[in-house]
Amino acid sequence: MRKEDYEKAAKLTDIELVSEIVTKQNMDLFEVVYDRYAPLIYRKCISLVKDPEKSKDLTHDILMKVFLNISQFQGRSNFSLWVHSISYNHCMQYFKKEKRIQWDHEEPESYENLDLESIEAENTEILEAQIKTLEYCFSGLKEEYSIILSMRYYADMSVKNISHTLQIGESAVKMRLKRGRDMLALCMQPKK
Amino acid sequence: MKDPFKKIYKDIEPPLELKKQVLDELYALRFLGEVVDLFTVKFVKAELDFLSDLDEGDSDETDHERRIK
Repeated sequence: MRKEDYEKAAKLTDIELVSEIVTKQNMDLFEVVYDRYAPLIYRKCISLVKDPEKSKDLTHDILMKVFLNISQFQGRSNFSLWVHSISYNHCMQYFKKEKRIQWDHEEPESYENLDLESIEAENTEILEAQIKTLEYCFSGLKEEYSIILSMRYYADMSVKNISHTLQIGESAVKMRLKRGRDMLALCMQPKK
Repeated sequence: MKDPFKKIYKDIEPPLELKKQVLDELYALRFLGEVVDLFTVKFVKAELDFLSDLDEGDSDETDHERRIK
């Protein structure tokens, strides 16, 4: 792709880019989509999988999935949310295949009426955490917690979206969110 | 909580060779798609057009012969 064409395309919004790719079959624009999303996907994979080589393979597969299904994106949600959903779904499939995640379909009733704000009001020490400490504690979490924390706080997905993407109930999402935050907070407490 | 989370792993970039790998594979798939299209849809369409032209040619000739008769 020529430099001036790239610079012009880089100014387009996600929706405009997708529309150009789908309607005009302009596949050169995939390079712009790649540059915009590959780092986000790769960081997400490495934070969850903790293996650079495997994260590279997963990022490759996720991007191919995004590119080959781009015409199915209907613009009802924003494009980044669509990409995030594909990424997390793909990582989940990998975890299930590798048996790294045990998805019991428990629907804890005690979490049903718990509102998200009260869950997120706790563990304020996480807010003040050093990035390296957060990275260290996050990498020690079990996948079933790290994936939900990542979806909520890295990709800004709502509980409803997480529940829909992972095919689990909203109360199960809240429960894992709460437990994950508690575990992170515990890890961040200064050692006596 | 959102802000510190967005900062983790921020200094990590995907391997440089990944971009070439993904884009090359994508272009190869596009090329494959065009070849398949050429030898299936377009080929069949060209054959049908050719055969229908032949039919029309035959029927013209018959009309002409009829007129002479």
